[in-house]
Amino acid sequence: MEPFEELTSLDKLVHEPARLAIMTALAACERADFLYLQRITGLTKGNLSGHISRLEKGELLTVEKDFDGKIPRTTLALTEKGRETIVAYWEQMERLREAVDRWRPGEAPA
Amino acid sequence: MNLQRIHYVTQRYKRLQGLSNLPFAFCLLAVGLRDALRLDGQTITLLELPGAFTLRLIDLVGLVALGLMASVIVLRKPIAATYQNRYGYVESKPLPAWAWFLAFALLYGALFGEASVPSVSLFALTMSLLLGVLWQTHHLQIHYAAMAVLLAVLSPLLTHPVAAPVVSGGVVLVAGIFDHLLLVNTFTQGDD
Repeated sequence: MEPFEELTSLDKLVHEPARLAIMTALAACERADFLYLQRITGLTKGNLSGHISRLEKGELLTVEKDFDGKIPRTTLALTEKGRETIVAYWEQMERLREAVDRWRPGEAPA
Repeated sequence: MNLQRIHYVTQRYKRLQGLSNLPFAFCLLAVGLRDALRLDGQTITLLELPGAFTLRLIDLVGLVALGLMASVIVLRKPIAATYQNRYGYVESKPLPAWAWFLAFALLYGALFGEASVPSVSLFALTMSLLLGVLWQTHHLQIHYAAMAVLLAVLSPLLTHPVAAPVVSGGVVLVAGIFDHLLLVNTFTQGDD
């Protein structure tokens, strides 16, 4: 596949920087709470909620609401599909990087 | 957003909570102080009550060391709760049981055993091994490897009973401060 074709086939849901940061954090642990994701990504509450809703809609993560004593806590975890998607995304990025290294401008498509 | 750092910090979030190293570090330093007082031979009496009860400085430092040893366990939850309230909660794979066993064996040896042989400090070598294995298996920051090498190299010089606990306590303290700073800097950058 040509680098540009590979680029257009990237998963847009994951490729967006804020969502990629959320997915990267959750891929590195079993689960994390909303506060941690807010602190590590530097996103505002509203912005983070919006991105989480999109990822949840895409079935890439699950959201659980419970209580830690009397304090409400929102915990998030990647689904199996979410873990597979982020691994596939990084593999695709690696292929893309290799294809760009090989690509010479003006060369006829293979 | 630095994705590499996000991944690194999230994967090691509990390990980077460096304040939890402090009781362990101060315990080692107290052990060193107790041994220094024991070697000094002078028994400073702090309190002498009518009857048989006397409280010497060495007893007090020994009690503080024991208290600090207990606080390694007791303070784990409050320190973790402080990080959780400030930076949030992450669930990850816990520290392997062997690491805790090795840490407590080290402390026990420091408190109740003769931790060195004439040519090399076993205490410093065990500490070096613990830091090196933790660095390798948990891909911790480079200062763990540097301190493991430093302790291994210095182990022939740390045969004095006081030197090994004091240097090891210092190493644990510095490692904890570096870890804590990495965590704080990561979240400060996130605030920008």
